[in-house]
Amino acid sequence: MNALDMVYHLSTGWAVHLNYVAVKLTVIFLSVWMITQFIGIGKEEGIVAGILGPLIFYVYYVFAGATLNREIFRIDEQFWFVFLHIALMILAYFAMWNFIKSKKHWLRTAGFVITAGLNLVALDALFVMLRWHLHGINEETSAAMMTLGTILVPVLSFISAAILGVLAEKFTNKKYLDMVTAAIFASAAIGFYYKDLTHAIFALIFVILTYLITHTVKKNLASAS
Amino acid sequence: MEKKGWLLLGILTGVIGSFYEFVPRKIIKSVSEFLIFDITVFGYRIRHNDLILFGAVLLTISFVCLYKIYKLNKRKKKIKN
Repeated sequence: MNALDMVYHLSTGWAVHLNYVAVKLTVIFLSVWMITQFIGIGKEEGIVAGILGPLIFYVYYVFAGATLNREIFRIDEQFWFVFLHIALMILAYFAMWNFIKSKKHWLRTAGFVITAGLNLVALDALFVMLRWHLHGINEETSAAMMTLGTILVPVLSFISAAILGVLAEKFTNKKYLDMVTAAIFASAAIGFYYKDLTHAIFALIFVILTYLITHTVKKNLASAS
Repeated sequence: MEKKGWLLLGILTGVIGSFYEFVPRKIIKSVSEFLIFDITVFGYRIRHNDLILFGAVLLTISFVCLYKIYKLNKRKKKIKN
């Protein structure tokens, strides 16, 4: 959800910065995790989690003090954004739902590409913002630096990598080849474009982590049911 | 955890969460300054927005508890029928 949200905001001129992304991640992760852990996984649960996270996040926006100058930056604090966030949350939830539960192969594959691709985009954006923060760049400069151009190459690289991974697995049927293909492609694309070895290494780690986590979650849920 | 436990947790987190989320900053500061304001944790100073986030987290837990109670009631009704 965070990745979709970031792409939307950056492509329409709204500011994205580390503090709010961290708050969004905390609230949304907590609501989805608590509902799946203590209540269950299902369509109703998905819709409730999709509504709860953005609503609580909106409440945070209303009562928290402003950290960015509103005359310079546009922040997604208007009420109508709740509906956009709910739609994005439900899209992300049901992508994962289809990857785990769908009986149709194409839906499972599409669910996986969306889930893995978006997860990677979010991790990469967090990495970029955290790096700026560690280099001592302040919030306003960081928000001004975070544009669509910053995440466009990672978005294209990770989505293409996930699709390539799916194709590699389909044609060779070898275990882990999807992960290896996706990791090498994403890492090479990001490394070549940015000429940045650290970013490329982190892209590689993110792909491996995402694939291992996604497949482990699927395996555990399948064995539990 | 039983229904009573969820209810208790829901009420507790709801009340504390609402306190930090909705009560004006000045009142929170005067009531519980000694607990949370101007305290440095691992070199990080707790700010007002951190308290708001703390309130939001507690409210999330509270809503999940209420939803759990609703689901437990629904299941109970289903079993009865």
